[in-house]
Amino acid sequence: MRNFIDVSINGVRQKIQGIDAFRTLSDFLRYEQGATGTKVVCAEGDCGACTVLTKSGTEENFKSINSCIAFMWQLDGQEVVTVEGLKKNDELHPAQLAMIQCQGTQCGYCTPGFICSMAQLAQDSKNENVVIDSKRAKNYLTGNLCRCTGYDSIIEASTKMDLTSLPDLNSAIVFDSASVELEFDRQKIYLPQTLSEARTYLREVPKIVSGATDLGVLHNKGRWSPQVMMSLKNIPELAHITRSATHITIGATATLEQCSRELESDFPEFSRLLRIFASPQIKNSATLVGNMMNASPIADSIPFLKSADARIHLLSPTGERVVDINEFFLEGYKKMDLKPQEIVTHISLPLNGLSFKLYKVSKRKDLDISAVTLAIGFEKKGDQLLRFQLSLGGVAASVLRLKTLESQMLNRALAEKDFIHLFNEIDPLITPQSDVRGSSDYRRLLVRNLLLKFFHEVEGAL
Amino acid sequence: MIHQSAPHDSSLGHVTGESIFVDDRPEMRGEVHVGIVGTPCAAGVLIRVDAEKALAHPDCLAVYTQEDFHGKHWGTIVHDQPFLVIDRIGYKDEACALIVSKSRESVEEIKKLVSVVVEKAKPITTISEAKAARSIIFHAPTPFAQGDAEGELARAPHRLTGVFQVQGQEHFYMESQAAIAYPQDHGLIEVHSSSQHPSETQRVIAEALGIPLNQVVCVVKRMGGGFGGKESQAAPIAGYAALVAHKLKRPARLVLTKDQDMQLTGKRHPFENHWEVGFDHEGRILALKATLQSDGGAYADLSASILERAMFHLDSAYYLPNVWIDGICFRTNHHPHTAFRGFGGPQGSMTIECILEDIARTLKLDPLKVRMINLYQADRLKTPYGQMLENNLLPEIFKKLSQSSDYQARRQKIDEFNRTSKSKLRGMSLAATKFGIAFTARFLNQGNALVNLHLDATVQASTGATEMGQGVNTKIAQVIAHALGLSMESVKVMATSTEKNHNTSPTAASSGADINCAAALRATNLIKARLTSLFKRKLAGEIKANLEEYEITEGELDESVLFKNGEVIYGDKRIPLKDLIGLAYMNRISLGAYAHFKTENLGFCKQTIQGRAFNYYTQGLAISEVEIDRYTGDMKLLRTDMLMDLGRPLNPAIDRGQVMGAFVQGMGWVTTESLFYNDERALVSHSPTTYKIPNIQDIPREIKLEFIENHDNSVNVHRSKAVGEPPFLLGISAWTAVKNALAYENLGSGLKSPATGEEILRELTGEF
Repeated sequence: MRNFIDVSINGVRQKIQGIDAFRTLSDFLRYEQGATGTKVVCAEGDCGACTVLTKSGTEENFKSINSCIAFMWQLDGQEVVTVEGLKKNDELHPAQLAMIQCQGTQCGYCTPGFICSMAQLAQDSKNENVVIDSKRAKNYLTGNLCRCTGYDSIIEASTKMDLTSLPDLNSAIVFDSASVELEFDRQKIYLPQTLSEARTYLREVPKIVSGATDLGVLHNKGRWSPQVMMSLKNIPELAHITRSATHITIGATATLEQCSRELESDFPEFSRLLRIFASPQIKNSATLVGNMMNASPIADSIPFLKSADARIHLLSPTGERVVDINEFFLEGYKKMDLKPQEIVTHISLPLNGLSFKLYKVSKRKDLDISAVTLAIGFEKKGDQLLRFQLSLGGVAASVLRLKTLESQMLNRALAEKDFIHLFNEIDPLITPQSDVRGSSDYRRLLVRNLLLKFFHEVEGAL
Repeated sequence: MIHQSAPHDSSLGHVTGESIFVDDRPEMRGEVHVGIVGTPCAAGVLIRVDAEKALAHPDCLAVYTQEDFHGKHWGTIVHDQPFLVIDRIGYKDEACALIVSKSRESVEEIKKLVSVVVEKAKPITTISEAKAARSIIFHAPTPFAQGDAEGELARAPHRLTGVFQVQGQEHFYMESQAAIAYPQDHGLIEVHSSSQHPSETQRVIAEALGIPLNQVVCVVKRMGGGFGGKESQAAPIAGYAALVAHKLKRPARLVLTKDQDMQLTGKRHPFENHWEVGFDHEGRILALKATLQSDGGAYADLSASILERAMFHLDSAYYLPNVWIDGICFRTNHHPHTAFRGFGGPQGSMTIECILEDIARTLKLDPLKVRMINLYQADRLKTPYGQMLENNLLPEIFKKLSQSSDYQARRQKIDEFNRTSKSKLRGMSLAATKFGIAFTARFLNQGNALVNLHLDATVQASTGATEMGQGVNTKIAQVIAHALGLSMESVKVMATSTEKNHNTSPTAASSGADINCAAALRATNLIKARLTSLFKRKLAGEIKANLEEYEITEGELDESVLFKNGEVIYGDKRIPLKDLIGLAYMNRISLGAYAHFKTENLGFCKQTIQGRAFNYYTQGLAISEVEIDRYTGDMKLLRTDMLMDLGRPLNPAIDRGQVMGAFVQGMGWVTTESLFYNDERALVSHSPTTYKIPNIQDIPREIKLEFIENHDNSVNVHRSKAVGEPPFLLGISAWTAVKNALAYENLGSGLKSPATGEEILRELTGEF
């Protein structure tokens, strides 16, 4: 058991403990290390100015994360590279060179974040032997906002990086792999290495984290009080997505990025949704289980998981159980059938031949919280639906799975009027709010129109 | 060097993270952190600030209220805004107390311990409420009038009336407002501020503290974006830091979080413009009457000038033979709205673009055709304020861009698409810019520059221009390097400081490069003249070396003496510039120069509404095509083509960046950037989670930009044109394209801006 964090920053190995272990990475860099290249703008992981690169000692490649919502304790066993660390032997990184040459920088405040995201783009493209076109560049830079350039010159710079001269950022440090227990003031965190070790802490730990992308925001916005926590992040067995003949099992610390990549062939529509879901930086940190356990009525993954009849695997000091997600989530805001000292270890998705249509409507297409989400799992034969599983987000205190209304759509020829009829039955069941993301009337109309859009899109096949 | 794409002078620092912004400055010994406590309501009276609990916090050093300020109010045009609330509360989250903490971490905690006791009142939240309450900040003294608008309206074969509503816009500069004040000896305060207007910041601090101007130095190294938001509103932030430094004799840092910046500071003005237009069967405007109404927020700020610029730009690129334009700015309980790229111009020009769309829809004409017939051209060149368009390229710009964008063929495809698609709707339309260059307050059209030539033939130059990313320092360096025949590396433009350049104008109105490059060129030419005369006298062998001195005070420029590639050349004689500089130094000839510049021939009479308000116009055009999802109202920009007249651009690559950035910012304003206030008038969309500026996926899938050749802008430095604001108006084409798409369904007359998915769906369905 260690009482410090073993981390490397720009190739320099450091032992971090005390209050520093509980700071955000960006605060630690800027105010404790004087490394002010990393900027903080929104402090909520939405603008990307604070982007840095990290990788665990065992990983091959660096990935971008938002340093403003990453805590130092999350970085145990990790290498961190900031904008200051990209220059090697006085040679600029190809991303830096290209940005100068293409006039990709104006005020310069977002630039360090873009440079780090571009460095990951360069690394991945070289590894995958892929030429960077503007579409690929945009997908890597979705999580970085710029208010000056209109992005045009940054896209150009991204496509003009010289991938033949990428520096090796790897420091080849072999990190200590012991479990960690950190404490400062009223804050305490455990970082166990195995699930059985984690189980022994459950009785005293009220808060479980892994990606901490939500916790970081709450911390920065003064809506969080120090408490005892446990991070599952250092438990290798929870990081995997495995596939059997009947289902796919997703571990509690599997990131959204992993899900997007590894669910592509079995759930292409969910994988597509994840692409517009959040920034690469967030997806590199945040987990599917975390998004689900936030239990928000506008959590983008829950409608899909409900329509897919996902199963939740729970662990407590006294045992294990598996629950259907539609029974796990209860009526009401953030209500769940979660017992004290119980944690989610996995989600499993049945491989039962359902197709999906997932709709998300938001003000901005990418990286926006939805006004309404609709998830339909279905199976069609000829002009009829054999299965139809419908969930709605953003229109009630919790995500709704509308089982009682589903069967009327089965085994008969369908017309537009049937979906209008379906909406008329849904209408009294939903209670959309008016807020910053849209008015109640707009949301109601969206539900109707999304049902019609679904009909329109599958009509040809029905 | 000029007219070439030199890299931005800070780019190396930016890409390596070495560029220093205000909050990157290292913490000094004894430095304290300042926090602003805001009001809990939008209107009412402040009863008292109870600081007892805050002062009991171990990190809290002081709590200040309005009583601690010597001068109680500030304001660029009118001194009406209290530094800290005195009694009447103007808006939600308005600054009413300052807390001082020993540590950065405790600032938010201490702020929460201050209790602000108020008596709430009902706020004025809309233009119509303000109108009913006669709550007015400014009413234009004389309407802009030309011809007989009333009579021609009555006689016109077609008439339309409407109200065009457009929301405000958050600047969303990446670096939030920030300042650090350092107490120097004998009571002098040095402030490092993220400000577009160091001279005003200096004045505001002096007034706040009750000290003379020579006891204040304001330094601006660079800003992480400004866009107008740091023209006036950076000053009180610096004032707060300065007050704390002055009181405690310790360095004081005030850096706002993005959330607080968005809640506290004003935005682009929302407008609600009432109009009535008369036109003929071809869509030619015969007469227009319009009343422009802006929401100024709680205090005057720059609202009067912004409203005037909206009136000046109502015509945009279109000739209005009979016109009457009035303007009123209302006082509401919102943050004081302020300068933002375009400065009212966009809200004016967007109104006429909206009207042209409505005319096209009504007559079932193509929006391009309606614009072409109304364009300033031939003998139709007189603006509603009497200034004639000179060197007008608008007809050529429209012709060229409609051809290069393949407008007619694409129009046919869109017609066909909309006939057949059940799920999608497309539209395509235009937005022009004819942006008047000059501050409409004439006295601001001046600047000064200091150029120092060192013995190694390198230059340090300073002007009143502030660098916010727009590349003004690079352009200044280019102009100096060109004049002296030096490389870009040899010329360094230093941090802006009020101890080097006095009484400067804000870097605003797109004029930063125009004024400051001209002043820098003038200063450089003073040195060049001395060196020229020295060289000629040396060649003439007028004195023998080491016997007596060459004596030159003014010197004289001679175009046949060339300064090129580090040498000075006259006929077949040449001398390295460095040697000539050394000679000048040994002969006690000044190698530094200061110069002042003012823009000539400006004179506009606000009573008669006649004269030359602008030095010239920057012109351009955009054509955008959009696709709308009929079910959800989701909108995608498929393609945008742009053509700009920037004269002979000083730096084509930097100017290209300005146009692209301005377009996307304008596009954001009219599409996704929606400010949402709750019933208490608290801004709910105060961070990027809820306020959506365009991200990289939102820009048009295809985007093309070209510059039109123009060598005739002889009234500006090196025949260039200002670029900062004008292309912002091109973003409006995203909105007119949506309006055009809706016109295919004979809808869209009520479309407001921004055209969010919700707004589009509302127009499309009429259901909510």
